[in-house]
Amino acid sequence: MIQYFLNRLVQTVPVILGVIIITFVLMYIVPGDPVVSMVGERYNEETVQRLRQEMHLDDPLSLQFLRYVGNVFQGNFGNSFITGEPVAKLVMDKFPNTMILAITAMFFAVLVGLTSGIISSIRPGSLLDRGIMVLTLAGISAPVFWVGLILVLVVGVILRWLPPTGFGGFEYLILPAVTLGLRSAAYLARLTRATMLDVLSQDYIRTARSKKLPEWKVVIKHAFPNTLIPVITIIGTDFGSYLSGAVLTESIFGWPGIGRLALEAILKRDFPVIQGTVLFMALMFVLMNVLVDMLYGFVDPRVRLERSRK
Amino acid sequence: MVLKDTGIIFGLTCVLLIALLGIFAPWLAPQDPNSQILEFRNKPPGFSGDIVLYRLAPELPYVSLVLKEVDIVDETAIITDILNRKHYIKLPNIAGGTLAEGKKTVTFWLGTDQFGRDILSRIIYGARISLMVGFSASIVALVIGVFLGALAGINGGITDTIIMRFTDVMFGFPTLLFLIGITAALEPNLNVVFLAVGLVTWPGMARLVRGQVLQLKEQEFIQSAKALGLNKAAILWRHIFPNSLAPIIVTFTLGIAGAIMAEASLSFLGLGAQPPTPSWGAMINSSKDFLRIAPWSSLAPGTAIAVAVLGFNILGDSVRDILDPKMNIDR
Repeated sequence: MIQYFLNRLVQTVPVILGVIIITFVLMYIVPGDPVVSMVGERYNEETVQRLRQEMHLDDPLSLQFLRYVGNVFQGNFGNSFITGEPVAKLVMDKFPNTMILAITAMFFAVLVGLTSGIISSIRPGSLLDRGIMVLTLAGISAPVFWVGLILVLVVGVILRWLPPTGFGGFEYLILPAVTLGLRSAAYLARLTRATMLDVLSQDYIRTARSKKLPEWKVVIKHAFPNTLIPVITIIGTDFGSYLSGAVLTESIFGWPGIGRLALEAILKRDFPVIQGTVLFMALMFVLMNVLVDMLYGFVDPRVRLERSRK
Repeated sequence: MVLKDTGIIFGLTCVLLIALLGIFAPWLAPQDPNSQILEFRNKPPGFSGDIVLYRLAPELPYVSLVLKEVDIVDETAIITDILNRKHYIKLPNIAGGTLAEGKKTVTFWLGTDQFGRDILSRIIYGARISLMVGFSASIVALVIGVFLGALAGINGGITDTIIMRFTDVMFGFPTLLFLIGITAALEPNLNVVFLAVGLVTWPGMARLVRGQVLQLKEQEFIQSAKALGLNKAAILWRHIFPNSLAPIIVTFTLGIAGAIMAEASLSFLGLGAQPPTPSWGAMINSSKDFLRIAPWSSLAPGTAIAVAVLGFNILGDSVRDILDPKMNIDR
């Protein structure tokens, strides 16, 4: 068990290093001089030279990279070109908002996805099942930003049930969370249905049925625990990307999370903030994936054995 | 799968519809996708109005004028527009030379956007952009993925380790974030978008191809080809590639859906197609501020994106189901 966890941790080291290299390179390929974009069009040569030295931009690339890695490990992501604030502080200010949104969205996705998946699997091929499956297909294919806009229009503007956009109490959280969680809910419904259908045809379920257990007991007590695996799969694949910035959802609803922070930085061409937020989100994504893999190993001994053998 | 039988028909229909719209856009679009009639801003679907095409002098291009009343005195048309301004236009300057020729009733089947552009025409031209970006991005991913995957699979050893570690890193990076990073670093335009999508999404293809190669490599017909003295490249091209074509096509089709969605998302964020390009994502981006007064201008492109993505997804899924009935409907 510990062996498996350790292995999994060691595997992330090259991934984290790769992520750092990619963010470094991304900002290195930006056309134009970062100092010029910092001081603006009308600059004098002296200031530019001084700033270049202060920022160590004339050093060899390898040294710049090492310094960058060193700073990142100390939690120093640089300062914003525009406000001068440390990027780490900006990110930490916004991250709780993203976290709240992500958790609510995942809660919604699991609730709706599991319920509809199980309902679907009880009578496969029925009208209800077909209806749910068509809806999930639509949910998977409809663009997130479009679903968000429709929710804003219908629930926020026409029906006036909830505030269309903004930030505040729980009523502001519902629409963005539904928007963000809808795709996962749809995937989870399909996965749950497939798992349930698979499980319901197995011998121990037949045994349970043949000893005249009521059908709801068969479903809830014997088949349902198996849906834990698709739930973890969905949390694993999607929660990381929620945390790594639900850029689209946050921009539609004006939700002040890190996704929106990144987008605003992009529009203002505030490169240290772009670099810092992208790196932070990518690291969150990697971290989430590791945690979920460990959770897999914890829940399902087969995974643990197979992977430590590799 | 529930939709197995109808799935492939439905998927093909959506894909063919989008493809036909894209290919025959200039013939199908009722109007120029970028021509603005400012008097017809934010008009609802089905709206129609009368316009006259005219030019001020023979060397100038035709412009449109929305008319309320018209009078002809001598060789001059006196046109009253909807703001009750009078325009005196000589008949030869009207398109076709006569009022009967130059006067047109235009109908906007899907309404107009905030610049008075015909949404239907923009949707039709948008199909072209989505398809082009979808295909070219998937081809970039296909070429890189097949090359690196085959290289890793056939050589094994250190080459395999390096390539696979590299794909791990790529997988470690959230896709949309990666795309946003690249397009933000470079100038946002459609060429950057399709290259970026291709460069970010190839690892899936590489893993698939590597798996295929590893699996096929041990089979007897490959072993005998090796014994006959065929070199690696020939074995790959003549024996392994044809045998892995089916899963590659499936992944390619699903990749197109992903690329169309990625382009739409980036353009929606303002990091893809720039105005006035009629990209579906960009259309939603520019009309989202008019959601209250003109919801149709965001609904139509959103539906178009959903249909395109759904079509390619279902097509890919049902082809996979047909090829391998054992496979589950997992992603």
